Amino acid sequence: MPDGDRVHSHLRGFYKKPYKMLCEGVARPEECARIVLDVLRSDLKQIAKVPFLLARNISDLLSQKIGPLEFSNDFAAAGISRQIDELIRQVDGPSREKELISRASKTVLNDLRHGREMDASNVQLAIFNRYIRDKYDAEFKERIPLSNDHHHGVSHSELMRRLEALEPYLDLGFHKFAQTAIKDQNLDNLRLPRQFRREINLDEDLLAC
Amino acid sequence: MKSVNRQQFEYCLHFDPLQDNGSIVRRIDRATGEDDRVRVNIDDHDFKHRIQQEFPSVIADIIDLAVAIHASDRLTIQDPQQPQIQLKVVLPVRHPEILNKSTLNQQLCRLLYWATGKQWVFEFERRRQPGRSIENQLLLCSSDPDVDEVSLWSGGLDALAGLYGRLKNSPAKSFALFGSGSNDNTRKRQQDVFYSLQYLFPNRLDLCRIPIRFDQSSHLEKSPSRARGIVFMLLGSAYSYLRGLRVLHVYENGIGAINLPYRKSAVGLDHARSVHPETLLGVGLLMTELIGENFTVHNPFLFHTKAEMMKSLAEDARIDLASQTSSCDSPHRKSQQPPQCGYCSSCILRKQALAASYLEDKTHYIVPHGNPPVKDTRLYFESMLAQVASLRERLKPSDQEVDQWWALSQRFPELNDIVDRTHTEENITLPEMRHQLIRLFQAYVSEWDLVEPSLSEQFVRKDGPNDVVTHESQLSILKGLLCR
Repeated sequence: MPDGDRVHSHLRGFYKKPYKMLCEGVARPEECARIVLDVLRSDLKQIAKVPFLLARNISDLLSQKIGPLEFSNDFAAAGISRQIDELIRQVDGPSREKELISRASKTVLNDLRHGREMDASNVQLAIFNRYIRDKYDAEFKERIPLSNDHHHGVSHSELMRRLEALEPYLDLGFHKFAQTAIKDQNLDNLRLPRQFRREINLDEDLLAC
Repeated sequence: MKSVNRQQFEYCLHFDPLQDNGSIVRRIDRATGEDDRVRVNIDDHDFKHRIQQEFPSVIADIIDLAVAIHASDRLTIQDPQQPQIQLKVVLPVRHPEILNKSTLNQQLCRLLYWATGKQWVFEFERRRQPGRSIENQLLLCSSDPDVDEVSLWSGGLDALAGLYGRLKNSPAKSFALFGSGSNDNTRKRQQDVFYSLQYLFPNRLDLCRIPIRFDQSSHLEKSPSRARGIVFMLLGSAYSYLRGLRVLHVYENGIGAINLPYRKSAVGLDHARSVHPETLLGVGLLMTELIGENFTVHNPFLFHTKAEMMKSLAEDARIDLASQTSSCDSPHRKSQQPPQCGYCSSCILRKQALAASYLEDKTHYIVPHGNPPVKDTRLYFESMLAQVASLRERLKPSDQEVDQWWALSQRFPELNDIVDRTHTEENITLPEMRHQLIRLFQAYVSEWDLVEPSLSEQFVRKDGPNDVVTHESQLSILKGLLCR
């Protein structure tokens, strides 16, 4: 496409462990999910400070408008989108994270605009939760090579099936991360959901991820 | 929260006045302490083709600004994982009172931030030196024929297809083409295709090239310049103004212009915004501020796929013309190899469009005609199929277009911004523009349905699992995503 595109085809270092684990297919989905969430937690702690603060500022902006403003008013929604861009532009931070929080905010705005059901009392949670989901997709799920040449000889479709099995656990994890960050107003103590924290019972059947 | 500190610039770029023999740029890198000088040249003698008796001084400033943006972007590096770099550009101009106006200055910085991801700051000083020779040539009367349309001329397939269609469909119109021609190979190709068209449509075409070159390339950032589109459009707009017009045309298919990410791992400027509708809007607004008159940059093919753009070429079976153009993002220079790779996204879209237009593709590509490189050449093909699968899933037939739009814009929220910000410029309502974009993506998906099997054959590997991951298998991921 014009002026070339960058396509990411390799997982970054610390995301290789959950990938290999998934390919090997020995661990249960919740165990795989825990490893993915552990890695994501470290990544977020390192890099998500700016997106977290932006989520708060953008949520303040959206919350102010929820009462007086009709989001289905296209003109008003377009204005808010511009304000989001401006808030993000004025802040110093990694370009990639700024883009991810921009996307997350704009999908929340899109929901409000289309009258989709949303807990309007906690817009910050919705934005940061979506940022974490997008971060996971961008760094892991949609970085996994599309070829059939995967670790341990697993086929792409089988790998995708295993990834899908993680989703309910990941959803819980993303929500818990977002909730903890907002409660603490920082990313220092992101916690896994309670069911992930228990020790693994070595007698359990770990087959079939 | 930390806002951009305007005092701490990582790079300062001081330009000497741009003369006939170029300009020395002093680049100071605050992080490394490097302080070096690079010469940048522009050959603007083709700008003698104009209607004004005197060369407009504000246009001379626009040329200098374009050169300064080009050089500054090429001389600074932005790592997307790091905070955006801040650069300060100091440029002597003839009209600092116009260029330093805060509204204009902010517009310029916003536009460049959008296109490059860098934080730009400009300081325009008054130029004390006399202008370049082009500015000092007084025209008694213009000998150049009037033109009806000025358009950018890259030497690519979209530029050819767009122009060919317009030449054919508007037999009374004449066209002036503008290309940078900074690269010798590109320059030759632009010229060859132009001559072929001139032969077919005599006395209706004119070509102007204004190359920008550096004396040494060792300081230049290797990755493609994200400001290139803006530079090209600013110079093209200057040319359009000199030819007495207030519109610049850009012929680019809508899929390439909007350039949506293939997968969610592509974020922000991983995909260029060179001819994005918002970039065109931004350059138009900037030009309007600079010249004090309404100016627009218009892409008449925003709602066309590349194959649809090629309708006129296909009707006349002009594959000979299409074969003269180049689309490749990373042309190869080895004498034993075809110049176009055949596996970058631009080559693949070219193949897709030719196949969907039922035109025999006579282009020689490394894949499938040459010796493919060791690296995996299926990367872009598979990524593009992933995007097509994603579009297909979101564009499932529905009675309610609003639901299709919601599904589409939830995955690609940038589409809302495009519609909200540019529908007025396109002279259509919001629902009409959404409808047009839904149709565009539907047409694109249908074209892929038609050509995917034949294109897949080119990407079969001889030394491993042979099957490309098709859109069917990618749907399994998407279904999961959509259920949430």
